[in-house]
Amino acid sequence: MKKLIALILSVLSLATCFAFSGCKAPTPQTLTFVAPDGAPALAIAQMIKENATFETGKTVNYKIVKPADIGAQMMTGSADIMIMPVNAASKLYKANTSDPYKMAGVVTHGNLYVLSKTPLTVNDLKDKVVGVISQGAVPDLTFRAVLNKTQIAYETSDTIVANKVAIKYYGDASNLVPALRTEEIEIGLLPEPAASKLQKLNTAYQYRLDVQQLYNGTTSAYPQAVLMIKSSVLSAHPEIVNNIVNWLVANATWIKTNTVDAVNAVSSAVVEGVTPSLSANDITSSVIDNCKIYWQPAYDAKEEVINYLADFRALAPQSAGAVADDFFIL
Amino acid sequence: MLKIENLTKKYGDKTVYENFNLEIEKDKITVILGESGSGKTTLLNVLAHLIDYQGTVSGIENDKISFVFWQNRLVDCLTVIKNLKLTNPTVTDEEIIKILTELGIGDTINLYPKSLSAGMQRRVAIARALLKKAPLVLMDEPFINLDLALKLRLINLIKDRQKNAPTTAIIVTHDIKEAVLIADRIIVLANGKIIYDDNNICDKTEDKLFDILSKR
Amino acid sequence: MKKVDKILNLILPVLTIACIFLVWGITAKSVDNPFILPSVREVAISCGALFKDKAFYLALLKTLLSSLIAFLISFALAFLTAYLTKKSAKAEVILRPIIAIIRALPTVAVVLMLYLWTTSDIAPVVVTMLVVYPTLYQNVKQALDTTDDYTLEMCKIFNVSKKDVLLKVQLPLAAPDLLSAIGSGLSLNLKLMVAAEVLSSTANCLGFMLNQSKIYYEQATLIALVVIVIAVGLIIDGAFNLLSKKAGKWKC
Repeated sequence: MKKLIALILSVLSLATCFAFSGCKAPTPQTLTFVAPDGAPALAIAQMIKENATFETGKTVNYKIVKPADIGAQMMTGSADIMIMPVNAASKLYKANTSDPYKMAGVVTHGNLYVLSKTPLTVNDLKDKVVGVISQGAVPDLTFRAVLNKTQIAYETSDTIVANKVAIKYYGDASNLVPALRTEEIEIGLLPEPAASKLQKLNTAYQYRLDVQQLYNGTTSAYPQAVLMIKSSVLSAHPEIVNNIVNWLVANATWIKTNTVDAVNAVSSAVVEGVTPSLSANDITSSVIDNCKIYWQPAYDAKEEVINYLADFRALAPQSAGAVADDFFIL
Repeated sequence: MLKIENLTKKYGDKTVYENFNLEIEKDKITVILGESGSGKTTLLNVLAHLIDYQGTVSGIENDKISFVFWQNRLVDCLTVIKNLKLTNPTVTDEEIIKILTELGIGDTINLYPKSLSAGMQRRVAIARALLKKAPLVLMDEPFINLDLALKLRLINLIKDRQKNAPTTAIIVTHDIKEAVLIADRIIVLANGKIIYDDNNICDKTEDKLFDILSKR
Repeated sequence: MKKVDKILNLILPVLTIACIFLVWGITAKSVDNPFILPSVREVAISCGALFKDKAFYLALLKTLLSSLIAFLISFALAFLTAYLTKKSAKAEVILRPIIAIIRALPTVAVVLMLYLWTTSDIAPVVVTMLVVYPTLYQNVKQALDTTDDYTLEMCKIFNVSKKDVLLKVQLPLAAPDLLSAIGSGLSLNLKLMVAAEVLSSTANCLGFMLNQSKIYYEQATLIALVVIVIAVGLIIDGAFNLLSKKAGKWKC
């Protein structure tokens, strides 16, 4: 019996050793570049396709993850470079205190639109029910920030509330789009490319309100997703920001005329087990225009970022961090 | 008269009774003796309509039967007094205390059955049957788990009650002495038949019964 | 029970919990990342913040109320069907495949389907009710079996009314097992309800708060909420165990 136990333990130990030897330890010659699936991933489509290495002499491993998993990449320090929602970045950038991340700039500037069958202005939303996705997340907080700016009262409700916007929440676009199609609800707040998908399914739905324009009448934008880079990477490669920026600027033009290649590139980098959300049929150049993908450096975007995060904190104190200068690459 | 006519009862392939007939005089104590498996308990269950059978039983009002079962069948979650009130809702606390005192367990009214000895539980079961004051009382080995002194006390109690308020009692027992002390009539059963029937109980009855039963 | 044993029975569970906290504390310190594993202190502070937040109490009340409603419906159904199947063998045969199907339903899939067919408030109640029902049915059936046929026969002979048989015999006999089952059922209900609320995006409830904590990377608050749910579950379980012991004092 003792011999049998010893044999079993030996086999298990050997198996464990083999298993661990098969693990790929991160090598110093690889940089990991992570972005969430959706519009932010399109911002690096050309880089993925052409395997950009930013003159670092290293291999860049591109990973597109589920939006819900992007925070974990920063929390664990798995990503060297990443694109992520600015509010999440504001909370997590110092998760690893010995090697914090810094914001290089803004990559996407908002992709939220209100669609309905009948024309309406933002004031017309009063006494109506609006379907909004992801309660507590960026779409919801941005929409409510807009309502606050325009001094329109709102309330969470499935039915009309007099003189207020009734907000009915749905889990995500895959729940709201069918509700709009079946007219369970008639007005919906949707991100691209879900918005254009709805329009394709039911052409009666038109883009009525540009949330970006409502948030900031001058720029028609807000700092939605930002480029974050580890401090250690910045120290090792001082020119990396400029090199990435060159690619981002080129990419913003490239994706408008290479939509199919862009989608394919993003899909090829999606991590195992995740279904790509973008489809070549849904991504047109007008959809890409609506995603507002363009580069804005940190020194230029600093005030907007601080204000945007403050708007979020006013709605939900835990939704964003109050960032200091150490957040930005200035 | 309580009549059993053409009673047939089988358990699977085993025939306990076949065209069995018996008449029992009312307001008398009839004791049924017999070896194990002779059908004594079956007879009581037939009279109480607790089992199916073929034949007729007449002279009994079905809701006016009292029974001392072979198992005590006390309700474990009820105290003694609540057990007795469950089956005799109109009886007063005083009557309950009186009969329990007569049975030597007057101080158990607020105890649960599991706190009582086997003999005490038996006496509660007997009290339950006696309190009902039913015209027909069936008793299956009523004095089991009781010592001799208590047995004699109970037998005298039942006989005194019988004098003051006669009821039809049918008692099943193995014990010849018990039978002789309490019975107005003794019937011995064997293989579903009556092999001895005596309603003149005297000093010699015990010897006769011993003789009959020892030859089985 | 010896005095030493009694003292040990009190001290040992406390020591076990203290060890859990110790391991947690050591692990949090070595990980040194509050977004991965917050420290015990951070979670305690979050608990304190929750207890001062009116929204937390409203959310707790909503979740508890939903759990109770789901449980009561489930229990009523379990009692009715268990009673029926005890009375009728045919009823048992008819119900058997239905209960087997309900038991085999994958919870997450049911939540997602119900979310499409009903509302985010109703879906968690229905799914919790469905998941708990088979266990409650079994428990109630076992509890009703505590009244044996001999006792029922005795009640028949002594003309005990059906009402008295149910209220004075069957229910009190079943009470200890039933109360224990109710405690476990309520505790399970609470856990399921919170999970279903998260999946259904139900508003203004504990599930919602857990979800919000997750999307805002408030790990300490998330763990604090989990600790509170565990504590509430333990309190419910403990309370009903005490009631069960009291109802079963006749067993000693």
